[in-house]
Amino acid sequence: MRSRFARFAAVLGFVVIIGYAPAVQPVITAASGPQLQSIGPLTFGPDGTLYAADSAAATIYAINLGQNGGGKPGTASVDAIDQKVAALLATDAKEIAIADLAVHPSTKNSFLAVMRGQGANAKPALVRVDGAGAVTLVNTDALSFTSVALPNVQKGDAQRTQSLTQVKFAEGRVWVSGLSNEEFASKLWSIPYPFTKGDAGTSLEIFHDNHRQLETRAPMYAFVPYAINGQPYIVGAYTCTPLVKFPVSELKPNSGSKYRGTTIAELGAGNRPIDMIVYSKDGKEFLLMANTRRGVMKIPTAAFASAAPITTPSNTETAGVPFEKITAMTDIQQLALLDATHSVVIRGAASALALNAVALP
Amino acid sequence: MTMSTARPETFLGRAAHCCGVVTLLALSLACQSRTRADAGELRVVLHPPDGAARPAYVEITGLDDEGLSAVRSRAADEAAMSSLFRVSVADQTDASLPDIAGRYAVNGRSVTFTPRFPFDAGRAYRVRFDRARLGTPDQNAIVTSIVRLPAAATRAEAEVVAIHPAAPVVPENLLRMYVEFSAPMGSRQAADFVRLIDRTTGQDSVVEEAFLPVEADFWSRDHRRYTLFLDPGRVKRGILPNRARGRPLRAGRAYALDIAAEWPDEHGQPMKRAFRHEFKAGPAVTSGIDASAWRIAPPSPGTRDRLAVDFDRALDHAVAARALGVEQNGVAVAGAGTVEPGDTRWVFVPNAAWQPGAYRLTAQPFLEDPQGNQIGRAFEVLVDTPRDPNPEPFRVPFVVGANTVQR
Repeated sequence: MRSRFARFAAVLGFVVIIGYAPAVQPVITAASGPQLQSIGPLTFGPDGTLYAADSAAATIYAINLGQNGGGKPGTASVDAIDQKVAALLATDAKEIAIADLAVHPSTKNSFLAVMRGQGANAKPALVRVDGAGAVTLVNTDALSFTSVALPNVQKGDAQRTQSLTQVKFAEGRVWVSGLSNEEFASKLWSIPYPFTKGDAGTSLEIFHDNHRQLETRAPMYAFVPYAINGQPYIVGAYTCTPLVKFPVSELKPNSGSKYRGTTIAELGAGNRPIDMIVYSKDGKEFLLMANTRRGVMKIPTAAFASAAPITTPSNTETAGVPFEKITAMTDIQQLALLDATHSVVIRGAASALALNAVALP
Repeated sequence: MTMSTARPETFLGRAAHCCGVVTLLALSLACQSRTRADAGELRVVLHPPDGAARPAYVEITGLDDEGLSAVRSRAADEAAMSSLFRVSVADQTDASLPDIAGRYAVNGRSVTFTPRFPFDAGRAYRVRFDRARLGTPDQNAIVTSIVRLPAAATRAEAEVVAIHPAAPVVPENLLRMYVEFSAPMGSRQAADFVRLIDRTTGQDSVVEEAFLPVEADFWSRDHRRYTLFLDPGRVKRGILPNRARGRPLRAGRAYALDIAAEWPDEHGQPMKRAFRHEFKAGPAVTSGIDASAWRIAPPSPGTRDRLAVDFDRALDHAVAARALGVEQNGVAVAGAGTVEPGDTRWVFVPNAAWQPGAYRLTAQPFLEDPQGNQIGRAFEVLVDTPRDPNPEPFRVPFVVGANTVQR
């Protein structure tokens, strides 16, 4: 069924200010393996480097998986993935949380970020699923890595935390979004890779306006890098509105400059995108977006470039970017691009999750 | 005393049929012997953790010289070891579930397995040692045993001890609330356990989709505090969710925050009791914090009397606690600051006596009220309102030695 976004047709702009000089010295390379305090969002670079976000330490690790990068090539579907991961970690499915899913670019094995245990005692684990459906724990003890502490993370007391929600690699930089559990932080971090002491990256403060009237800070929590007309953009979602785009070319560190982006669509209250992937099919590109309450949406990206900015509220549903709801994909908890023809998803309810390779719609 | 609760398990099927010698021993350390066991008599012992120094591990003893030699020859081959000596979660019914990931070692006359992640207290684990894989014809027995560490305390201990803001009336554009607990909680997020109730009419009705539906971790580091974010898409004016459904809180109405007792603590136990926090919503507060209107009551010189600062409004309980400080000649004054109940006053007690002279109260630029308003800048401002990308702390001078209230 075809539908359209934005009954009330708000196309909302937002503004980014580049703020602050880098204040944190990054980069540690050690032979003892990454000492993650927690594990959350994952992504791979094109060379197979695994970028893992550690919210507890407000640190991004770039890990060389070496021989751990691949078992049998591909990713086979695995039923009861949460139970299998839990068994591997000596516990019950109720005691684990799968925080993210990423696919190795060459082996096409899937990697899961898992927190094992409850509360402050929960420990991070990295789990691999290969083309035979084998579920194995990746021993990170001896893996080489580099890391960077996110710049300009407030040094709070024991109560404040920085919950990192997504990490992506594009344009030679690692992009990280996150939320604070205290102030209404609106940071998007951009860090050049390889990590260097000379440039610890930049924290971008995101603003969002409604119809050129009021603007607020606006935390980003899900995004995907995407080129529009050959120019790199970030297509993302904020806590207050679902889908926006902004060009990254104008991000000049420490310039204090502002610029405006465009909201592509609104999904309404009570729904948030979980993951976004971009893929090609039949000569066209699409954004596939898994949502908390509104299923999976397939959005042709051709409209991203041509959508005219709307500066006044509209009450028609036809405004905004059209999408197709993929009814065959339900209860999606995690979504990642597997290869040219398939995605890999974690679907189902708690304690009954399956990892499935699913044909791209 | 170390507990080991290895228990015999009935042998089943083909394994029992083909096995020559099966020995199952339930041992505690009290009866554990380090003398060489008779050939074929294997012991399975679960050693509990030694504090933080050593995690719990499973030990197999009783192998004869040939068996030990065979194990040693395989010790470096993880796949061979994991087929010889398997440890798995015992209460799982799905035979396809993998064994526990762990490390093997041969120490003296024993073989040990230490899981990568510690055994859970009270959980049953199955240990299976397959001597057939050692290649010794007369020792082709499979030994299995169920072991478990003592169960942890299972008493409900946690309860909600505070909600911030605690005021009986909060602005309708409130962005967040803090829930404080008496004991560390688990990892579950609030969605299944917290409801906003409209009780204006005298009958409870749930305010649907009041909170931010994001699966981010909003626990404090010690898991004694959870941050509830009201859906900012509904709080911010003019955005589709706001226009479609309005703010979750509306001025003049009466509410309750209901927190279910089922919210599990770090041991998986429910709380002692459910909790209800009743409050009303008042008019929105949509202006920036006016620090120039704060009232500072300076302390007397030569004392460690508290400095009291009365704000122009209730500030964010958590942010204020770390955003405020005192400096003298540009140097931070050591001491303890506290946000008083109601979040409209901050008091500071220095470690050393106040000296006569000029001081400054410092407020970091990230200071907010619970509506997201900052000093001199409202949360919602007219578009293109300039903003300093590198804001300095806001400073309010005061003098110790004067007896008048300063503004």
